[in-house]
Amino acid sequence: MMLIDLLRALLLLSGALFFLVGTLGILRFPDTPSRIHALTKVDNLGLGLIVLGLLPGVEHWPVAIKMILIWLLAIAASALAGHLVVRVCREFRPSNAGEQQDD
Amino acid sequence: MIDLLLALTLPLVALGVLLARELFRAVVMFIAFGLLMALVWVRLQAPDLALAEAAIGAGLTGVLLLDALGHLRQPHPPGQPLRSLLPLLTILALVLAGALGLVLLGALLEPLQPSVNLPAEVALHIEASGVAHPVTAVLLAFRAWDTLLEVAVILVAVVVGLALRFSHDDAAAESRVSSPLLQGMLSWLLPLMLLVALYLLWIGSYRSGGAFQAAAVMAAMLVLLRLSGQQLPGQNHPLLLRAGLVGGLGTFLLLGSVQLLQGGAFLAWPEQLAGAFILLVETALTFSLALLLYALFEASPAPARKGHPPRTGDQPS
Amino acid sequence: MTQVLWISTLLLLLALLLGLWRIWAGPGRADRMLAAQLFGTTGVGLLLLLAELMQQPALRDVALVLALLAIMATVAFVARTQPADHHSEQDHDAD
Repeated sequence: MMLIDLLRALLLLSGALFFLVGTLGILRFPDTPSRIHALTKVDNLGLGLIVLGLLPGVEHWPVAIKMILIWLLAIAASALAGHLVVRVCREFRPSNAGEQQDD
Repeated sequence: MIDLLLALTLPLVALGVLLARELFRAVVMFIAFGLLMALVWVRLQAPDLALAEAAIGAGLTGVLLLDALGHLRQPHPPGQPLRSLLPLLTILALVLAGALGLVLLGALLEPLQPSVNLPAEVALHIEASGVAHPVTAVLLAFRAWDTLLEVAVILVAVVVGLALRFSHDDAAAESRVSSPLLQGMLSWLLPLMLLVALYLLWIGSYRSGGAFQAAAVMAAMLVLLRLSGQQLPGQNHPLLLRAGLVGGLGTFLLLGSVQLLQGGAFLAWPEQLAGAFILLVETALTFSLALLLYALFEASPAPARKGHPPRTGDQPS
Repeated sequence: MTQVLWISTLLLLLALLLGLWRIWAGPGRADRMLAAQLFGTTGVGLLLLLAELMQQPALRDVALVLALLAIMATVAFVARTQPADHHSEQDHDAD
């Protein structure tokens, strides 16, 4: 019982930490593609860890499936978002150099 | 602590939306505002509102605004004929906002009436309503009039919108995303959205969910379908679309009048069948509202779309 | 356990608020859109945590809807506000 709780705490806290790191990445990375990297990697891992940490607490197993589904959806969404956004970046920056985007 | 942070941030973000010079920034801030608002509803113990806000605020409104932005950028030169009226408009806005503020202040200062404990009342009569979720009971049994008129208002708004759109057709502003990844993902995302919409409709009878939320998800599905360049079946039948648009309200009115025939009140559900009637109305409302919300987005229904052959090969590959 | 949940929630909220800065500051439209996407994912995490904290299973449905619709804004952004300029697209062939 204690061990499970410890594990859950570890998962939840590291998940939250990953979110913070991902946000820092979005804030600190110099250009859009590297920010995409921060987005698509870190927050999925963060959400995954949080979902894992929450799983032992749910009442019924269908709820657990729903939570895993939510995680998969989030992964798919951010992967797709990264893909689409990077295409826009490429279109708008034919010289494929330069840090700042037009706006 | 969490509540404090939310309470401090929400007005800041709202201010950000208002003060953003650049429209795009304002739109994205508004999307963020929708999400924060949903969180605030959660903290206020109103999951129904949070659900609606998440579906409409985070999903549809953002799309509508971005779409409007796309239309704005296209044909109009950035002329500002209103510039000279600006001081006048500012004063007018300030006066109106001030008046509204005063009225609200007055309402706040009004001594509280020894009011009815509404949640208790609802809990007392929920048996009679035919559903188990108090919010649904209020929306479709106790205050069905309000819901009916709400739907009517949305219908009128959409009719006006459609009328305006017929007059200046700017289908040229429409461009679509074509990406194999998007297409592939949509092939399972869209059915999932439909499933979730039906799920929300169904659980509305005993917990948070219901027609409006389900309709928002369903409308989002239709919008996503259009954004990815698919043709909708029946898209070229304006009559079908119109029938769908009024279908929800029509069903509501029709079923609401059933008791009228037997000398009862309008919108009173027959006692034994209340649950079934409500489910029927909710289902009709879901599909109809989904079409209504979608129609707000859709540039112009079929007739105006002549010079725009379906599936122009815009696949950039 | 409850404390851990609260701390995680607070950290996530902090991340959310920090992310607001990127939405505000930009500089590019793509950056704002990305930040909004992150905002959505963080919101999903927050809702899942709050569902357990507040004993409100309905919040998981909110999280589900949010996750489901998270992609909408980005797709609309790519489709509409960047009018896919076919001339420029031909030069350097996306995909």
